[in-house]
Amino acid sequence: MMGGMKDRDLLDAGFRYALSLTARHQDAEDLVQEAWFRLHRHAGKVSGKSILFTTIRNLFVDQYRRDRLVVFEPLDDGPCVPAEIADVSAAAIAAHDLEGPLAALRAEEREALFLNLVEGYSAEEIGGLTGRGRGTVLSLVHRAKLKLRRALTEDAVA
Amino acid sequence: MPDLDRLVGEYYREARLVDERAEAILAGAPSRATPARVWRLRLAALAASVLALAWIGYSVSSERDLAERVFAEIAMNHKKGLAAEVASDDFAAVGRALDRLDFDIAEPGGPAAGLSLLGGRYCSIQGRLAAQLKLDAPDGMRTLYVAELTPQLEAVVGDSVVHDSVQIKVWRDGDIFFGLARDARPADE
Repeated sequence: MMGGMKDRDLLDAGFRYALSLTARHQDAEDLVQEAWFRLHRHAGKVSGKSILFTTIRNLFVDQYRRDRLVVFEPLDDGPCVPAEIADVSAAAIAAHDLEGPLAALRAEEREALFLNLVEGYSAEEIGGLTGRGRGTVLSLVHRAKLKLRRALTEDAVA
Repeated sequence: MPDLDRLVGEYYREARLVDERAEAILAGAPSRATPARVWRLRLAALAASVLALAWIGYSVSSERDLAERVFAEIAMNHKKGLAAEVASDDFAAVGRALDRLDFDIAEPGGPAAGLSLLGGRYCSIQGRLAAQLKLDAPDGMRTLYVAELTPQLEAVVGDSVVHDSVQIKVWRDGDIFFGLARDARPADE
């Protein structure tokens, strides 16, 4: 424990971060367990949120990194015109409605969004944790919000 | 939709491990590695090192194959000469129109510096969206590929080749990969 955080609270914080990476509850549970066990094997304890997040991230990157064939293929789905985003009543949307739209984001977008909105990290701090530039982090957060708004608007219209 | 930030916060703050799983993790956490385990880990690391050395030898030849594939795709797409989906001479405007990209389009440097933009369209690299820009130069048309840099693409940057009668230069600027293609001239061969 560190900073007064109980093990259970620390575990939940790690689970939420893992969820932001995997978007799947079962995968997030497995990921946080593996990180928790790894830290215990190496240090005999989980000393804080920072080391837990770093371990979760390293495991995630190891597990999900894939070498894929380089393929260039023009997309023939027509020009992409920026969609007008309709105003949707906030009352019509609940937090659980976000599960699908969040899962559709890229892992790095969900991660940046989570660290910014939930953990309150600045773009610079997120950059330090994830190895990205401040501008890239800001862009990831911006694009994640844009995609979520678009998805929720489409859902509401449908 | 004014409360998106709040909704995202609520979604994640409401998420927590189910009690049974949390208790199982807390109760099942292993103790610190024993010396015997450490030795086993060291032996495993040694074996991994031997495998890594073998892998390095293999990957050197794989990188050559990878570069060939990248250049072949760039040359093929340049020869197709597909029309731009967004016509503009402003890089930022094309970037705004291609808003599904996960990076910004800015005026390129390197071999593409100073060339006039005619427009752009989407393409994809490794399943990720990328931009294919048409550039005009006094001596002919160029096709510029812009994509997020991946470890595979990183292995190719810095090269300049003639592939299938197309002269190709690839470079990087920060986290962005650039590939510039034009019809080859006899002097390029």
